[in-house]
Amino acid sequence: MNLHESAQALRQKAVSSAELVSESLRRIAALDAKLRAFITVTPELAEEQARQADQERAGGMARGPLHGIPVAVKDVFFTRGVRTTCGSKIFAGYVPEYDSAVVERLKAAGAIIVGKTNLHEFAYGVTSTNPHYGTVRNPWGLDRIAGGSSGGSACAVAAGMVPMAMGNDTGGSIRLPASFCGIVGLKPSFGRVSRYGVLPLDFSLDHMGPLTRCVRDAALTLGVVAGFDPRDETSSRQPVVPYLPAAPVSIRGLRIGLPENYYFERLNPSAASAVRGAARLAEQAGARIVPLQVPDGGQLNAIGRIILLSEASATMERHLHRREDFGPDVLALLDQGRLIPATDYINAQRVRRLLQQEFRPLWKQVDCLLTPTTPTGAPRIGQATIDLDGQEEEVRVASTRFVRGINVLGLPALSLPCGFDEEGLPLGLQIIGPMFQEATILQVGAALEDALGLTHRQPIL
Amino acid sequence: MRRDWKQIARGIAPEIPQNELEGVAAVLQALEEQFAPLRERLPYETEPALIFPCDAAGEELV
Repeated sequence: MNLHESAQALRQKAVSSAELVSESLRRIAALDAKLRAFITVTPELAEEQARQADQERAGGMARGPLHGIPVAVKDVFFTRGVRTTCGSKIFAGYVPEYDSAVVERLKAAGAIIVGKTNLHEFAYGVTSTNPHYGTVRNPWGLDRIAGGSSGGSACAVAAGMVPMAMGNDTGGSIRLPASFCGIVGLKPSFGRVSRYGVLPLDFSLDHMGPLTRCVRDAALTLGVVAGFDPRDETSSRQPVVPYLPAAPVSIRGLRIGLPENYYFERLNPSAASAVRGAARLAEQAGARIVPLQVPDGGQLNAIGRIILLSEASATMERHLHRREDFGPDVLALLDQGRLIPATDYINAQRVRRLLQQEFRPLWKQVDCLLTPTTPTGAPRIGQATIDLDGQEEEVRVASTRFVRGINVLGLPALSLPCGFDEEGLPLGLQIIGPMFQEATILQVGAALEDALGLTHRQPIL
Repeated sequence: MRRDWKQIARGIAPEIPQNELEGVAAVLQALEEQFAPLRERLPYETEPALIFPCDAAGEELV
């Protein structure tokens, strides 16, 4: 069952929280030895909370929309009394004394956290091939990466272990694994979801958001975790609006931009075709498809990488004397970041301002943009490069090509499944909206999800 | 002005092993080639986006 089906079944007393949690834990126990989606599972805690949730419901009390539903959080969200490793050896024994804002809000809405999901070390990479906690495998092909850095969260949702898992996204780390694992991932606007109590990788690019089986579940979760938090200095006071698309969902009259440049260059033809197919469905549903030129995504990516390399190295510098405790790929990135001069970092932030200004007029022409999330389906575990149009590209660079720049702009973006490649691996499309217009991209996402009819397709495990 | 990344590494981070330095320098070199033209076209008055506008109109600076 997905999130809103679980909520409905609980309300109708067709199922108990104890049963939902028990089924979630059973599935984790059965599958996690091969999938490695979790770093820590907390069965006793979850079962106790489920009993309490059932008692509360029997007494006529429901804490919120997630009351009694098992969920998971990426192991970068601080959880009081439960270790938070950040996928690293450095934090292997760290037990926070407080909950992150997201965990506080999930608990207040009644959610039951069954465990902490695996990730790329320090959320700094796209494979979730973690040298300390094992390689997260893709439920659609066990020889494939789940993507990263929120690979464990994507895997757990795709494998039906939990209906929702929280992730964070600095350069695509929610949308990319969602795309590779055939599920939905939402990166809200910068400032929409509090970052308080999450180990920062990059303080000007980090975003928190949900990974779910369907768009409406992402909307439901956003309604729970969004909102102003004075403990996060970048938290916005923009009001939280209803995110759940109205039923029946309509996109009639909406203007959907389809970029003519950058986003359809150097990608698997099946990925391009799946996104164009989705655009045709949107048109049939009454939306207007607007072909348009967008500011150069390559420039956004270049400055995004400079900012990330610099800020991540600044954050992690205190640990760099423990070189042997880092995985080689993360250590290489941290070494690169230490060498970037302050002038480059500052100039990258100045170019960022210019590109934000260049992007803004686009929203006078369209209500959202439709692009592929990734140029291919999930690469094989251990694969270093991808060959696209005769050009070899690092997996990390190729996979983040369409998603990283959106973090630089701070815009909300949603990834949802839109088809499968010739090897049967899922492909994702990305819907990008103006700042704080999450409701619009969720509306378009829900309409496309209904039209595509892919949510019934699950990996066979 | 092209940067000598290996020389910079020797000054700032001499503990980076020689065999890893080649890869580190190659990545930074490629990134610099993408970034240099952007850096050069920057108007003098452009402020950094370090203070990020959190609202649609950009009026609310935090």
